[in-house]
This record gives sequence, structure tokens and C-alpha cells, in this order.
Amino acid sequence: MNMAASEKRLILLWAVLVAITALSWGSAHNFAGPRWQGVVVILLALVKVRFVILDFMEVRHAPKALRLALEGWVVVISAALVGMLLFPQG
Amino acid sequence: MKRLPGEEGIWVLIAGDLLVFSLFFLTFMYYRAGEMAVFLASQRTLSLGFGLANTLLLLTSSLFVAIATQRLRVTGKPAPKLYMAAIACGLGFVGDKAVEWGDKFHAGIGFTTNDFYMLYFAFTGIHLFHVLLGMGVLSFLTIACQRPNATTRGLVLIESGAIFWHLVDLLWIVLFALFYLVR
Amino acid sequence: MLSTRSQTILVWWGLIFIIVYGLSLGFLEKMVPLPSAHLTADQVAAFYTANSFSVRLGALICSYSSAFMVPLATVIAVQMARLEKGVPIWAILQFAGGIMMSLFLVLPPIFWGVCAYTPTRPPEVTLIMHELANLTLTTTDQYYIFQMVAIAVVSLTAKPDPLTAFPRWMGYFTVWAAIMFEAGAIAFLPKSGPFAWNGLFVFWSPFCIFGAWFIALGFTLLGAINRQSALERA
Repeated sequence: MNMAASEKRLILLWAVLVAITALSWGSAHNFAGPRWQGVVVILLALVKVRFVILDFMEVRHAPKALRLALEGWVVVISAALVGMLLFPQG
Repeated sequence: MKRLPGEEGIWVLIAGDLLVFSLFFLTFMYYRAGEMAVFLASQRTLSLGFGLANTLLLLTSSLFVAIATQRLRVTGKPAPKLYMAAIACGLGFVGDKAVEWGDKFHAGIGFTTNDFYMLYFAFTGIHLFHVLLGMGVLSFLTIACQRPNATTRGLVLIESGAIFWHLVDLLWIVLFALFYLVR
Repeated sequence: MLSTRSQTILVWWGLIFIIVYGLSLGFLEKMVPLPSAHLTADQVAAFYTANSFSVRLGALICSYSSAFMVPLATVIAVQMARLEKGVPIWAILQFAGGIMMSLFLVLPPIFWGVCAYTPTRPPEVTLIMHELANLTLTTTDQYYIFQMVAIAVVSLTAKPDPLTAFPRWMGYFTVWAAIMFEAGAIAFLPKSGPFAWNGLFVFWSPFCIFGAWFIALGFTLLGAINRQSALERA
């Protein structure tokens, strides 16, 4: 079966997503880990989310406004979640 | 060359869901900050293996959907088997969830156990509803991609359905990280 | 021939009444948001004693205005029927779900009104009526769902029509609103937190989403009726 380059790229992306998942999962084995473990897990999750948006949902080649809005959301939610993790007192 | 994936309306739905789920995520962090000990202790009782399996199932299903949709657009050849494979992954997710929740209920853990589990069952429950809806959408894609208008008038609707499934995958990525992994 | 003028009147009737209902709910009934589910019977009874007139006046005004969905569901049904082929089954489902929804908006003000009618009765009796009202308001979402799903189906499956009252984005918006409304029934389980009857996801989210959806619907309905009447006159 002749697979297009674009399909190979999707499979490669999937492999990267699985690898990142494994990495996050690995970091969670220590239940009494340092605070930055949480930060890493959140950021890795949002990296995965960004790839899903750009390459699975194909927003990479979408009109700028849509891409900007979605990438903007990724940045804002990352900052908010990390912020709430690091500063639980508010 | 810029083109809008799917039709405009699907992005209204995506935006709405991202908005509400963002509220879910922030609510989780807010409650966690107020009850850190309870949340950490409850987190230990979560089945990490199921969570991981579910994440991998959804990532893989998204791959199938992305390839099938792209292949349809680029080569004009429908790939209903790929959409069906994605549905199978979805069924795996639902099955896993049933067992995982069954275990919890059996152990006496439920929605009213504590705030962690209230949010856990509510948010993953609403997500599960999205998965079920998504599987319905995938079934539609399986049929629609084989229709004669699949590469013309029907393509935009197929792309929209695919985008919804990727949303389901995306939301779980964050839920998995927050509930299962953040220590 | 469609009576576009009647439709316009009915839509405005419905829109004005929902605004009146909302204002009464907030300022007279003082139920925006609903009070905490943890209040004791005595605290609840005290609320009704202190606000007896206001709540009863609110019940009076809501009694006039809470059936706002009846004229709207009628117009929506007419607009849906023009897009459907054969027997307009989705329009009928929408109508059924839409008008039944009125029941659950009419009842809570009545129940609150009863609480306020004799605030000196045993607090436990007032409490049960108060709980009945609040849970009726927040958990009865299925009728909305029938209405919303029907609108979404017609919006997304009808042939493209420049005169449609349900553009495709409205169909998607409605699907999303319907999904988000499902959380309402959870209010039976907790007494505090985001899923309690005054919680973020059971009260505020459906309240705001419904408001937004309603405003959007008002726009699309009136816009379509306008375009249709222009065509009639032409």
C-alpha cells in the first residue's frame, strides 16, 4: 500500500503523542514528587493538545483568525492551570 | 494555502465545549487547592492503568480518523474500515470505563464520596457522553464517506465530524493529566 | 401562505415575556442564584417571612410570563415545518418539548409563592415546598433537550435555504447547548459545590447558555421572518 507522505507524518505525530504520554505517565510514578512534576505534566498535556488541534484538526493550515484563537486558548489555559497549581492560595 | 477545516458551525460547538471544559479544568484546580490532602489521597485510588489505556485508545482512534479523512480528501478513496477501527477504540474506551467505574462502585466509592470523586465522576461522565455522541458521529462518517458526494458536497460535513472526534480526544488528554497524573 | 406578521408578534411576545420572567426571578423571587441547599428549615422559613410580599408578587408576575415558550415554540414549529418534507415530525417534536418546558418554569414560582403565602407554617413544611421548587427548576432538562435536538436536526439536515430561520451555525450552537443542559439533573445528588442546585454547572451555566441561545434564536427567527415577508410583498 502506497502511503502518502502526509499519512506517514500523521503516524509519526501519533508516535510522538504516545511517547509524550508515556513520559507523563512515568513522571507520575512517584506519589511524593516535586512540585514541578505537576507543571511538567500540565505543559506536556497542552503540548499534546496543541498537536491535536494543529495536525489532527488541521488548524495549521486554517485561516489565521481561527489558529490564533485556538493557540491563544492553549496558552491561556496552560498559564491558568500552572498558575493555580503553583499558587493554590490564590 | 489557507482553508477552513470543516464548516464554520462546527467551530461554534468546539469553542463552546472548550469554554465549558476550561471551566471544568479550572474548577478542578480550585477545589484541589482547597483540599490538597483529600485530592492527593483520592488520586492514589484511581486506576492509572485504565486511564493510560483510555488515553492511548483515543489517541489511536484520532489517528485512524485523521488518516481516513485526509485520504478521502486527497485521493478520493473512502476508508470506512478506518472509521470503524476508531469506533472499536471508542468501544474499548467505554468498556474500560465501565469496568473502572464498576470497580469503584464496588469499593464503595461514588459521586458523593468526596469533592475529588464528585468532580471526577461528573467531568469524566460528561466526557463519556461526548464519547458516545462521537461514536454516533463516527458511525455516520463510516456511511457518509462511501456516498457519491463524499468528496464534494459531503466532504465538509465529514471533516466536521472528524473534528468533533478530535475534540473528544483532546478533552480526555487534559482530564487524564489533571485527575490521574498531576501529583 | 405564512402569516409573517403573526409570527413576528408571537416572537416578540415570547421575547418580552422571557425578559419579564427573568427579571422577576432575580429581583422579586430573589432566586438568581438559588439559595444554598444547606440552609436549615428555620433559615428558609426566615427568608420567606422577610420576603413574603416580594416573592408573592414575583409569583404573580411569573404566572403571567412563564409560558413564554408557548408562542415561541409555535413560531419555531412553523419555521421548521417549511424546511421539512412531508409530515413535519421534527417541528411537532419541537413543539411538544417546547410547550411542555413551560410547565417546569411555571411551577417553581407557584411553589415559592406558596412558601411565602403562609410563612408562619412549620418550617419543615416550607422547606419541602422550597426544595420541590428548586429541584423542579434545575433538574427538568429533558423537555428542553427534545426541543433543541429537533431544531438541530432540521438546521443541519435541511437543504440550504437563504430564508431559513436556523442557519447551520445555530444548529451546532443548539447541539452544544443541549449537551451542556444535561448536567442539570445532577442537582439531586450534592448539596454544595458546582453541581448543587445553585452551582456553577447546574444553575449558572444552563441559565447563561439558555439566555445566549434564546437571544441567538430571537435574531435568527426575526431575521428569517423579515426576509420571508419581504419576499411575500415582492
